[in-house]
Amino acid sequence: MSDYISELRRDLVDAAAREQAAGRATRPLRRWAWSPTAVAGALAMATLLLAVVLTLTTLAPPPQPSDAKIVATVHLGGQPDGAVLAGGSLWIADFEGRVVRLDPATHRVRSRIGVGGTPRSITAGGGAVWVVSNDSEMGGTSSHLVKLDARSGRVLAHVPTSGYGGPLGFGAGGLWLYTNEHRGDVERIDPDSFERTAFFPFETGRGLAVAANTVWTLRDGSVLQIDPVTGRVSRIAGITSRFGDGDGAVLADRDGAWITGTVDGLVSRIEGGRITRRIAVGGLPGVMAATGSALWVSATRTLPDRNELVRVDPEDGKVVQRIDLGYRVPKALVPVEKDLWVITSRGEAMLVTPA
Amino acid sequence: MPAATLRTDDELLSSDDPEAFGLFYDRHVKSLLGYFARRTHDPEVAADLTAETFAAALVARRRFKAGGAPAAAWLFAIAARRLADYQRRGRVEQRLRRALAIERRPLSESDAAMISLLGDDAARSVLEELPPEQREIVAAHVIDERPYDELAGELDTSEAVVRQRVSRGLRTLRRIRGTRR
Repeated sequence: MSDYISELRRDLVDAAAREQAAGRATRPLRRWAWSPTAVAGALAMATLLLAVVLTLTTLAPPPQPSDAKIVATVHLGGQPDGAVLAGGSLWIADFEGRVVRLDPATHRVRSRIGVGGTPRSITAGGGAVWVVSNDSEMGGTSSHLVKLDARSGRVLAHVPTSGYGGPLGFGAGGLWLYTNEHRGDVERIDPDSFERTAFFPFETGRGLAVAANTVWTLRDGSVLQIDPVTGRVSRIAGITSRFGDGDGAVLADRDGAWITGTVDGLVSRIEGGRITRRIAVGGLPGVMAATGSALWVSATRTLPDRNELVRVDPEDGKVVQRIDLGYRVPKALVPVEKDLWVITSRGEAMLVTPA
Repeated sequence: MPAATLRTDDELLSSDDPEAFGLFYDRHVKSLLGYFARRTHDPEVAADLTAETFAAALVARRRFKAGGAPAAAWLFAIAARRLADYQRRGRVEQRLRRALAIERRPLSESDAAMISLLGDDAARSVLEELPPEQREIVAAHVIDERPYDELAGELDTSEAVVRQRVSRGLRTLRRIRGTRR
């Protein structure tokens, strides 16, 4: 056995032994003595507990008829990393160099389109599906942009970008993308000529969304709003002390945006240039989507790793439902009318629908 | 074969005996190293991801439900998540190793070569490029997973000599592969 393998084994077994010893230390050293006083106390506690349970059962609201549940799972394979709805199809970026086209009505995979590299981001707009794919699996410095026809799935263009690709967004005058995610370079390009029409060097950044003629991105604990007409960048500070190590996500709409990716595990709502709500979803929030009157957020709890789909009432910020996803990490949430498709790290598309 | 190795993965994960986790590790460490090496093309990163994955598995093993998904699938689900995190962040988390007081170990040259080989789908054909005396012993140890002492007995030599031959073979492989890139 190699030195590395045997040393790691020893470390793990030692850690298991320490954990075992710590567990033993907390156990009682002798059996509990059944004294009459203790039995009476236990009975009193049990009666009190029963009373509390009965009270809570009476007060607890009955299950909501609108509770959503997973009604179908489609096995896509690969390593999904983002998805979008366009032209009546779900388009899923697969880290293994493909885009999977899924018919949300029949739940069938219609095609798998090779785009090369390792797709990093996907968006839709202008009758096209846009994918940025990095040329090296481990990042590197180059990437290319692929434009697919949202009706036929045909590859319309395949052009190099100016750096390592990151998040994409469509609207506000073109296609917005991080062309050098490590440096935080955001560009807008013309969707037909692919000419660069705007450039913002933010140094660092993550997450990108476009809505209502505003471009949103995140940087160093702040939310940046770009006015595409004037090029003015507004900074809303104090979202948190800093963003976490993982990706931050922005879900923008007509009135503002929802933000995740903060170390405090909160989902923040930004409207009118200020934070209007903070919601703790339990665990670290990841991807988001909005369907009708619900905000959906994925949340990961660690130690051990578990994932949940959390349904939030955006009006009052209350968590109204949790759906356990086990070890499946949601990589994208895509609303299709009232339903929600959850694309997971295990190569599945799961349909969540109101009961 | 010791009786302990006949226990199922489920039994090993639910055991209170620390050595049981070691046996579980023995069964899966090489396939996990290969899995990460194929995807990262970097032995150091593959080693780090493997260590963090086993640390996560150690912490989470009480929640593993025996009789459900196979333990290997459970382990690889943890691995896939670690890999995705690494691909997004550009670095390997050490959170769980720190929590368990497991320090990061440096990787020797021969360990790095061994991990690269585990990640090579065409490992057998790569081995063809080695001189015969090195090829057989590297294949026996790295691919067939035969321990040094067993090979030493078979070849009627010392364990140290076998270690040296394997190490030399892996170094040669690294040199051959390195000159191509």
